[in-house]
Amino acid sequence: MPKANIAERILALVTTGDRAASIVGDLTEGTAARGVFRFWPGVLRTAASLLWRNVAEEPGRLTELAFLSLAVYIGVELVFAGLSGLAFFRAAMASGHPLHLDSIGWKLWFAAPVLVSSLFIGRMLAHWAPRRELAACVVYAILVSIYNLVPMFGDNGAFSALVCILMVPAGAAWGRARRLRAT
Amino acid sequence: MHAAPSLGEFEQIVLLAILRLGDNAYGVTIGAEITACTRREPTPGALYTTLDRLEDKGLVTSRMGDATPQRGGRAKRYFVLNSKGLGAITRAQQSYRRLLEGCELPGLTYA
Repeated sequence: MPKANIAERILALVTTGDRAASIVGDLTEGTAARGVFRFWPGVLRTAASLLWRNVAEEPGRLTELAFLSLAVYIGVELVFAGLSGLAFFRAAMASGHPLHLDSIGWKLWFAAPVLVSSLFIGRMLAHWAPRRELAACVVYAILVSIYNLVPMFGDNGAFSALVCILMVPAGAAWGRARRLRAT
Repeated sequence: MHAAPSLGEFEQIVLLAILRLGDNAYGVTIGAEITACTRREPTPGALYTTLDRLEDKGLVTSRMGDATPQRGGRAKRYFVLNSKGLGAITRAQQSYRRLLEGCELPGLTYA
């Protein structure tokens, strides 16, 4: 049953694998009595409740991890800014005329550190906060959103926030799958 | 003196449902028992977070049961009250009883 497998993967981000499986089993069993339209609302409400519980149980630890991840993110940005400066200088010297920074190539170059660092930060969060991956991602996403709201730092706030929502949980799922394979 | 864990209203309801069900207490039957007895259907989110919390407090223990085809091959997680849980629910209900003594509630006869 593919939908049950997807539901199990979603719940496994907020609880242990065997608990996620038993909850999905309960919801599958309940579907027979209460109708198929109760399945997904049940999965999403359960995931939201467990996610909130994970955050509420260890807010200090998750905030600490979020700040640590933000420091990594800023570090990557600084290294990238230095490399970019060198690349611009060399390219401008070689071509002999000003660079067009709005070209697709340069846009991809500027997006790369945000995409890659978000993916690896998600993976780190999965390593630091096992069984609380999604809660750690949510706290980090909130912190990054606040960081990007500060005009001095957030030159591309909406893009960074969107990347955070998509790439950090993807990285966390990657890290989690890797950990489960190792055990 | 070791402080006894405090119990919320829904935690007491879940503990009593587990107690009533005996060896057959898992997510589906606990939810159904609560609905039948209280006429209030618990949301899955509230039920599973409460069961996890009760287990973390050491009031219930869980074990994985057999997988059945009607559950998509997934195992049931059975819950049972341990002595600490039994003590906690007994103390909580004794408090209710003491509060009820001398009260006259419409339609409720206190024995």
